[in-house]
Amino acid sequence: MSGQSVSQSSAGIRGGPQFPPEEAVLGCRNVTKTFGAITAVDDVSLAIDEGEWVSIVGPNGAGKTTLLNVLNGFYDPDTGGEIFLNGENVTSDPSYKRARKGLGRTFQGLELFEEEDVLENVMTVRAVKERPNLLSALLFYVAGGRKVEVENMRRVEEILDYLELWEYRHSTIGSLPLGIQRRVDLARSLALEPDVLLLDEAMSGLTFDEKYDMVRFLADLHEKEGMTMVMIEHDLEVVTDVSERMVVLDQGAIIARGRPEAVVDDPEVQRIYTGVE
Amino acid sequence: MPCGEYFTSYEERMGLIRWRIERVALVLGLPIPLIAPFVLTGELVSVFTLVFIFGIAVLGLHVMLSYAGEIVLAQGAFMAIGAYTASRIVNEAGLGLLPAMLIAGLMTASVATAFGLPAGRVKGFYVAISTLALQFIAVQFFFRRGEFEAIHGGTQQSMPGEIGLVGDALAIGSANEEYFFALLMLVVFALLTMNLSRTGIARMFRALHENDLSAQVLGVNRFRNKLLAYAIGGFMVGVAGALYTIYIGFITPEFFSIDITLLHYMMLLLGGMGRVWGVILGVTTVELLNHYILQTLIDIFPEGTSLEPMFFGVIIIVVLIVEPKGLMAALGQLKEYLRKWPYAY
Repeated sequence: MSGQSVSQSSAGIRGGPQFPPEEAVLGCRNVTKTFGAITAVDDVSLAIDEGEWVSIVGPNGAGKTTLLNVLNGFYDPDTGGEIFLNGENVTSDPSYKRARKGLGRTFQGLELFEEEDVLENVMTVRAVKERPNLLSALLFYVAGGRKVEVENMRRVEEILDYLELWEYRHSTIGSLPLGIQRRVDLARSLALEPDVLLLDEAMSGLTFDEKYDMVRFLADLHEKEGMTMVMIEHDLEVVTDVSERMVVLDQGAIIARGRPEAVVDDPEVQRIYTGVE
Repeated sequence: MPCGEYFTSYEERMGLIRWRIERVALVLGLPIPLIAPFVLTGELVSVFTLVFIFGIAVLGLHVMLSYAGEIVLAQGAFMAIGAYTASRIVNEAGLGLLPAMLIAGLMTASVATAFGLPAGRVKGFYVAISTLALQFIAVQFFFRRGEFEAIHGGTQQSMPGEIGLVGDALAIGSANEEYFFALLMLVVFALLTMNLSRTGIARMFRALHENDLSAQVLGVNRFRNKLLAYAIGGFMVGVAGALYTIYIGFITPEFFSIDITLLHYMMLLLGGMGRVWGVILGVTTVELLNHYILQTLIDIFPEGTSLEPMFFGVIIIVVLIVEPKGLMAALGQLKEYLRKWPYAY
């Protein structure tokens, strides 16, 4: 679906996905996720086009992170829900397989490897990309293990350079401020060279300057590399500035979707955000 | 002019011997184990042979515990499987020591992998309990004559005085030959482990150890990597078990009780988890202390019993309080202090 228009569909902001989810770079159809009596995600269908930057917004508890967790395989959807990645139905794939098929993600709670330094954090994910074999690992010098590691390190240091993390590469995670840790989280997911990047509140807790830096890196990735991005974000100013499309969740269901300027002017969206009828 | 040591290539950065002090230590230290058997007493040569064998076993534990974070309490069982397998290969098949070690390693790796299967679903103490079960099952298995003798070949087994490395060729039998062979094997397995630690496989093990949920979301296959850690670790411990039969010449299940598991944990904790040199330092320290302290305690308290475990218990508690990361971390701090001396930082 590359190049498909992201303009408002005729169904308006209350409509369904603008094209079939199985044709999307990342899509889902009729995804519901319940935890006991609680419905965290309620019959959500979504289609993300290649190179698109989509933001998912909604009040706390709306089901944004649960939806992301279902998309990347951390949770299985309830019966009937389907997930598509690059046109392939990946509903039955575990999270590690989806990551290897091109689905990267950052974490709201960071989830970095705390004991390791920045370089090792990113090298670990790069190892997944390269899938090292045991023989070449054990016979490091004679079976190509060193060559693979050298290439990995070169690529990882390019990523660290790109995200201006060079000076922190030998610092352990615990010694770094939150803004740098969030950048490490991003660097780690980029080491997978994903087709789609899921960003779970990548700017949460950042200062204005740190947020500015993060937006700059993400915008660069989107514009220069054409990275497809799905971002959960509370800051509506950031969302409307950078996103091409916006999805609003409330109580697990999509209540609006479309161009940011159209969605934020919608009375229903404003009611959910302000609580005023 | 540079005021320190710098790496100018990724290859240099990944080298095993990277710093000047390491090169000096290698040149000065390398001849010591090579001339040791010719200057030490026979008793000490025997102690060091055991250090090398246990070194391989603790390297196996190191892969499973330090890298993959699996609390495996079946070192004794793994060594027993390796030892009994090797004994049968040497005594009945006559294939020689090297094939016996290889088959013993593979057999142990298979059993370790099978008992690592629960690690795909559970973690931490639940895994520990599953491997502890193997420890007790294995000892009982090798004790049983009637039911399982056809499999294990006999509860008590002895090895020939001289064993060829392949068939009857290149036989080793003297204490010095066993010493050098065990030393060679330790060097080989230490290098393999160091290689492993520099690659993506060990990184994925460590990632699962530290944060298995995020590791999986980022593409690490938890089940496969956990089992791989069991297989690699089990192989090493099995090989150590095979060498152990050569060393003691006679095996019974009592040699492979839970005590050997606890001993190996003590060696790993004392030396410091996470580094191959820590393993070697821990094994050497414990075995030398064992040798000298045991003798001293017998001299001082001829009637005393069970003082040696008490002594080791106190040592472990003191080390864990003073330097929880083990002797290797303490040496690292000393190295840093000397590097900066006479300045404090």
